[in-house]
Amino acid sequence: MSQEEKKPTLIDKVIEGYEWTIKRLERTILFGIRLVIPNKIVSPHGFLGMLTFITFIVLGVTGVLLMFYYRPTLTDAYDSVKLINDEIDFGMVIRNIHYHASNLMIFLAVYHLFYQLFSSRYKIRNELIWVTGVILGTLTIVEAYIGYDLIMNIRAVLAINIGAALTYSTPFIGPLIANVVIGTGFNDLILRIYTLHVLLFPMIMIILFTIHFPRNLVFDPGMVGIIIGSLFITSALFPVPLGDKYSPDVPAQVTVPEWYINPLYALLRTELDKFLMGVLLPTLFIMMFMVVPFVDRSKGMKLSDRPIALGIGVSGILQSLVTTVWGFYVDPDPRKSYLERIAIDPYLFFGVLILINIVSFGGAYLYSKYAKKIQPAPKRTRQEPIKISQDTIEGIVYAMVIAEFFVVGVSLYMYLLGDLTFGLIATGLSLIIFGFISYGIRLITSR
Amino acid sequence: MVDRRTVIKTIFVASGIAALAPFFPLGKFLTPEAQASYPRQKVGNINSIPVLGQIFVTYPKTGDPSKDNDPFRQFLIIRTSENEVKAYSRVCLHLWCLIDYKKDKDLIECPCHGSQYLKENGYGIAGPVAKQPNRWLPVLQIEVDENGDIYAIGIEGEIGYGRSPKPEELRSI
Repeated sequence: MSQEEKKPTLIDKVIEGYEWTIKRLERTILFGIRLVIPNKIVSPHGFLGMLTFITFIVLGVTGVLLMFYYRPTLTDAYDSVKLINDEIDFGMVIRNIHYHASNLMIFLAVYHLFYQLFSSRYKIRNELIWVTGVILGTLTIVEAYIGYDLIMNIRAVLAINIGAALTYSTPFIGPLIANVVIGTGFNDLILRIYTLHVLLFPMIMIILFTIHFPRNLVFDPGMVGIIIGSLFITSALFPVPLGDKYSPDVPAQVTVPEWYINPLYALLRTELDKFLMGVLLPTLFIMMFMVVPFVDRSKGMKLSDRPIALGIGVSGILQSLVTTVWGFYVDPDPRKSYLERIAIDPYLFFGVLILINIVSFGGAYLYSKYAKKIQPAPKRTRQEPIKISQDTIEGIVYAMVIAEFFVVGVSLYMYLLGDLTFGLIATGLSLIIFGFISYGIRLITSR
Repeated sequence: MVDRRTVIKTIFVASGIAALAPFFPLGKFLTPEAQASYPRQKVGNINSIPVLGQIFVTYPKTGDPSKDNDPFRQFLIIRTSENEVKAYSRVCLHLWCLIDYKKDKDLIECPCHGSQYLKENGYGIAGPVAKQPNRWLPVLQIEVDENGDIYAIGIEGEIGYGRSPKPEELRSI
């Protein structure tokens, strides 16, 4: 407030206030975690986990909003989702963002896992971080699965049904868990999986975050803006259908589940033992990742030093891809019976999976054996950053700021007109532009 | 000679575990008897069902439509002969559609994917149910009094999953 000779601009004051707050926050437990905002443009591969967490926050916010209208009972569940989707202002937007954020979170988590695996981040005393990460990834998928059950359309009840059958088929603890979750019927079931979805699972995940998060966290506003913006645009372009309301008298159609449980669906369609296919093999697959830091004791960090980790990584990617795609394929011939259409030949299916494993692990072994003999590729010369003058960058940043304000204006105007789809696209676009502005400013300040 | 410290530590740990023991029965909170209690309820009269006919009943009936519409509370009663009725859960063991008795085929059939069950014991003989780990329809336990009134008294098995058959039933298949 006081007039001094060096008159601070408003931006200086904001920055000063920000720094003041940060310095005080450093005294709190929050700063056991050190949040690093990169001052250069860095690859997002290093902070995929943070992006996953940001998506988790988006899911939390939209999820709480959905809770205001959702009613977890057999008779009301579907109608309340329909109400949110069709009647409530911005209900469709919130629901679509929540749905697509769940897909994004799973995608980012899996991407994060494979990047960390191939770049050997699970070493150097990161074993606990790795193990909690694998657990968190599994919980994320289960959480998303429970989430789409809550809609209570035909597809949801099919998924609930298969989930219940798998739980029952697990020896000893299975029937116990199923009885606790199902209670005395659908009304208990919906209320209980709802409680799991909105409270218990997120709470367990937040507790695990405290173990999973390293002390140094990278927060990159630019990339966050781009990711969330893209999420909004995707949500606007691909609204998620409601499906048909569940009624016990309506025959179930052949429906493919959400993509992230397609591998499990493909396994079940081989029609071998349910417990083996639906519980044991998926658990073994997850365990394969869990044990990576304990079976790979090599000192080297290069891929050629770590044939086991390389094999697990390649085999994991290929198996996930093949089973996911296979899960989507249903014989379209309407003359065949339901069972004939969804059946997968187990010999073909497991033949392919075994082949994948032989190729992956064999290839990884051969690679580690012969990689050293092969003439090392000439070291890539570091590419000179394209020389752009300071003024040009500043000009681009100003242009982007103007563009952002314009797009924000468009977005608000569209919401005013009631065009949620176009409005949401504009909102997403403005976030993406904000991301690029953040990168532009970083280019200027890092010189 | 055991170290005194060790003894005291052991006692401490043991007392801690002992103090936790009373919490285990609280697990019943998750599957409360009251919720799952099966009162004796009249569900129909045998004389109102023709021989080889069926009725659909809700059990346990609460009067609250949101609960009574639950597929898990839907049962069917078949009059298999002059003096005998059989009662099963209507939830198909395959994908939880609601099944009913088809007089022309003399089988209980699922409208969705054609699973078929015997009316005598609820055993799944054909269709997708034949590939389920458990093929026995849960049974609604009933009593018929001298007036022909049918009373439901309980449920045998896990609805939507199956039940463990009696030894003589296992021998009969």
